[in-house]
Amino acid sequence: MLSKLIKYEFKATARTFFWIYAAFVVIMVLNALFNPITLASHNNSFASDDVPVALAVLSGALIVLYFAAIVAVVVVTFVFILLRFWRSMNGDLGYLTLTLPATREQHLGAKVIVATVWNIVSGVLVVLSIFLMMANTGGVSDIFGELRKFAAEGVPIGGWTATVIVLVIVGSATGSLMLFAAMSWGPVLLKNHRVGGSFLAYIILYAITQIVMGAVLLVIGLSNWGAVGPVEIGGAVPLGGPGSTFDVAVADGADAPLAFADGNLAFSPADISSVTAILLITLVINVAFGVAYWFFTRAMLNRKQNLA
Amino acid sequence: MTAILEAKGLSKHYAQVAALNEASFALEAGRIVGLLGPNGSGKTTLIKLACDLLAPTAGEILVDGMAPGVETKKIVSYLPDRVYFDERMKVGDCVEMFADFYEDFDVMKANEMLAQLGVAQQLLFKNLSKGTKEKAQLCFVMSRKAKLYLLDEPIGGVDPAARDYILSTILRNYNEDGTVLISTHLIYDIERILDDVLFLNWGRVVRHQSTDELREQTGKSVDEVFREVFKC
Repeated sequence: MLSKLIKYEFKATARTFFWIYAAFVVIMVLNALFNPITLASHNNSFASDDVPVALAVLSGALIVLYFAAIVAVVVVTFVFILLRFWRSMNGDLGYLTLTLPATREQHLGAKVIVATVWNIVSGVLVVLSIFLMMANTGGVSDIFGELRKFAAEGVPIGGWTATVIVLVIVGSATGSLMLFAAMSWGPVLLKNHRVGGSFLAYIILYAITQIVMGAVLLVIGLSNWGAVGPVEIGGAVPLGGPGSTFDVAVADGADAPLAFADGNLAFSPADISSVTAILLITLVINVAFGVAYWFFTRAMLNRKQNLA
Repeated sequence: MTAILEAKGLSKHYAQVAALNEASFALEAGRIVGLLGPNGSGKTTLIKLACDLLAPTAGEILVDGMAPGVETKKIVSYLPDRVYFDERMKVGDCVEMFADFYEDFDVMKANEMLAQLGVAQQLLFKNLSKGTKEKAQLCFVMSRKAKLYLLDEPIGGVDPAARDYILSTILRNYNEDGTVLISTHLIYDIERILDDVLFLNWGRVVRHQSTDELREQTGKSVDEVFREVFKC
């Protein structure tokens, strides 16, 4: 049953997302191909001073369009996931959705999976577009070069990347679940103002999430302060103060393992374990919130509020 | 024998208002039952409770002996009082969807009925007229070989010719071993097809009997009795 629900959830959302993503890809490709400023940086004979005004304007417009498109993809993905849930669970479509021979948990599961996939697709597209833009200036190989250097110095780039990927997936699911929790709670919270109730519910859940996450990270930051404080590393300047999650130090001494020595950023073993801990703890918090939102949404859905 | 739909002291309150108030009844299999009552008498609430769209405040409702859930949804064919398809879907996709989800859905029958109605499979649901949408939706609902059909106001808001179409579609297509519960306040049009009547008023069952019995007892038609019972 879950696979059937996922199939129809994809069918119902794919058409809209296809057009959003197609438009984004077109803007992304236009930017990569026809951005004369980027071209100028490749071609010395085409110095930026010589760029005709029309091309400069076009280039500027394309850049503005590109950043607008990034914001639009992220916002539209969020809004469309929201609208789809609202219409199919709280609106007229709910009369069909909720009378299909499936449990409310199965509906929720299908919606979380599909929303997570769309979130990830939009994220991947944005990252790809940044890579594509940087490809013209050789920025991508610079990034990979730096990463290789870090890896050679013992920084677990592979492990961090894997954790970040898992974090992105879990974070997308948790984000969708928070949205669904708000829309399931809203009609219970304010029975006669279901939409307003859902907004209020979202604000409450968002605030709780931020406070808990901030508090946990603050506690970790403070506990790390003693262990990896700037005192240990001569001349180190902590970034972000005592509350920062990890400290990057600037020092001119060759003895300092954590330093911007010769303009290169380096990590000490303590910082490596700090970053690893932060990543893992953020992951655990995300999982915990995801699980909590799942059960909360399920409980709200099982209260079977009257459909409009 | 297990009743196909049974309510035991069933109540549903919205805020302080009781939409259903300790309603109790049992419907037998193989009957066409009119769920009759004025606006606000609790008809839609009762049907929604049977469809698992609402949770009762007190009492219980059983479909074929089971509390509403996945198993009852497999045997209940529900027509709400509104369009419940995603209107951006093609009619053919809706057929495929029903076939995917409901084992008792007869694709051939649905396609035949839709063709008779002049609705092409390629059409988007939103491109159908209001009346055709309602009729097409009824085709989907009646193409299931369900044990219980719950039809909420199928003839409300349509012209008399469409009423005839809807009633004949119900009569020609329902599973004869199943029960059809039709909610309406348009008694005159529907009286001739009813085996039983269930009168609801202020959320209470005020009369539940066969139409023959009612006519014998009162010497009046269901419509006349309705007008007397619900006189304002």
